Amino acid sequence: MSDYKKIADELLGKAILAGAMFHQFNQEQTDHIVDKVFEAGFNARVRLAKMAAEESGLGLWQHKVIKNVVGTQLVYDSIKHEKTAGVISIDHKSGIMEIAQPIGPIFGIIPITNPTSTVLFKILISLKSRNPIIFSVPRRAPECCRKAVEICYEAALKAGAPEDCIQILPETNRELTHEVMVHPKLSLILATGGTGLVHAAYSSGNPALGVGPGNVPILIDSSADIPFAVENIINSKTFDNGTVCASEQSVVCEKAIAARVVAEFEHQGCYFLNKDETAKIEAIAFNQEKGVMSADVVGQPVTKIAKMSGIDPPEGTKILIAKQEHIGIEYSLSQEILAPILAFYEAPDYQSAIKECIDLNYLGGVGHTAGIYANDEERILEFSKIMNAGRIMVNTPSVQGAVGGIFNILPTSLTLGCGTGGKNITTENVTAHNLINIQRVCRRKVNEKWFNFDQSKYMDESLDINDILKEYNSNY
Amino acid sequence: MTNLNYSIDIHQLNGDFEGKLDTVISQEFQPVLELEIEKCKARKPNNNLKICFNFQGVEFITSTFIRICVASAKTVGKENFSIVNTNPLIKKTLKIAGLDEELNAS
Repeated sequence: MSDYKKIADELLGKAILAGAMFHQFNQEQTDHIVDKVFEAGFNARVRLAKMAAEESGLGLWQHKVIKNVVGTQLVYDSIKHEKTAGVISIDHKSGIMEIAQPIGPIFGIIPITNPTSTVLFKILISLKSRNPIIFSVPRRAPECCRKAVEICYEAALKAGAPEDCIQILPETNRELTHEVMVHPKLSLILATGGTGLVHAAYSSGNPALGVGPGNVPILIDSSADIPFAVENIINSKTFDNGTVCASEQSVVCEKAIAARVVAEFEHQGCYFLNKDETAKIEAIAFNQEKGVMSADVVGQPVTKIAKMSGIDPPEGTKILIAKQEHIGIEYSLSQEILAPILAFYEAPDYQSAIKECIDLNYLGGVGHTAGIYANDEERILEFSKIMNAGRIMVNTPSVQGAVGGIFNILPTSLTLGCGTGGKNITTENVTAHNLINIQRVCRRKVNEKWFNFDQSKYMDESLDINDILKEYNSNY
Repeated sequence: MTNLNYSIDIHQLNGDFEGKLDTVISQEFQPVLELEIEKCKARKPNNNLKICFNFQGVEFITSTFIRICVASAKTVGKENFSIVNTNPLIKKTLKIAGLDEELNAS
């Protein structure tokens, strides 16, 4: 047996025991633990944010504080009244009662882009659903995650949670991660990360809830309030230097309003790159050979990206914007780049603008998030029906909108399901209710049609569907 | 609440438990049990000591207590350890933990 297998066995052995203990807890005991862990995580929000920003070298600590608040306060608000233990619903009319059961050990994989906030979020939803969780943390930000785990675990134990309800891999490497992923005692992988990792999770043989990559297109319609749209896009795209996968990647608008949109972006502090500058940014922002964004620019400020690429935008530039004409894998800036870099497309008309959004959506962000700024209900509906996205943000900054709880009442989550398009099983914002098995206790409510129908008639080949249904539905 | 008594005729240490076997109770119980096991073993050094825990009235167990059971079963041999009269919740808890057979729980 390899050392990694032994470590996985030990971790899962402890987790299974913790899960068995958790099974005995009722809703009140569970909620008490969640309350206390929320308090502890929330109170550590600034310390953990500073650690995360410093250790990962990505984003801004102030924005990471907000992420930690989202991962604690807003997540807590969205789950605190949810029933996750014992009887969770009774429908006397249908005769169906639902009982929640914990699913068992969860493996939580944490991305470098949102380390502590994702740890806090996953702990809260796991504890709320009475499941133990084991974390794999990013190599470039292990200590901030360990500290978050330590703080929450201590609070959980004080509140009466089972020993080993929260664990962390002693080291981060592919072999150990694999051993835990494929372990027969594991119940679910909660995979937030890159495509390769999510694919590995789904290939493990264990159930997985993953995410997909985002390549969020934003349509600014001619009916939109342009200054409002631009302000919202900037606030979203610059949040934590663009590290959130729901952040805007491309803005598409009709030619008729393009000049106004460009002027507004410039007025609000963004910089449109010329062709030479665009080429320089393309060269550093995307690795064409590997077909992925360059890790060097992820979560970096404009000043650093400018320095890296050798361009000289005006001081205080918020976002670097590159006008683009083409969409495709060979066009680097039409793809997901988690940095304050935005692609800009002018379409001849509204229909063309929607079609460009479809191309962007399907290029690498299918199932994730799309957005529209418009004041025309028909266009909002048309856009929404055409896009393949778990979340369609309307007149809303896509980052703060997609995570839920700020601009809408979507469940607050840092794991955004992308449906089958993103190779996921759900388009939901993953939360506590995704981590329970629901048993349906079914009382006898007979189907009278079925019992009153002479079922020997199904055996008679001379009777067609019309004959059968006529009699089946007779007198009803 | 815990109570230990020894049946010399069958060389068996019996434990009666009720209520919540939480961490504090488990930690207090562990040295007492270990001592008692040693004493019982000394009485008939050539015979296999049996341990039987009666869970009639036990409503809740912690992993600490389960670990004590596992350690005790290891000490006297799996076949000589048993838990009887578990309520369904405790039975399922041991089942989820994958220990119901190892601890001969019924």
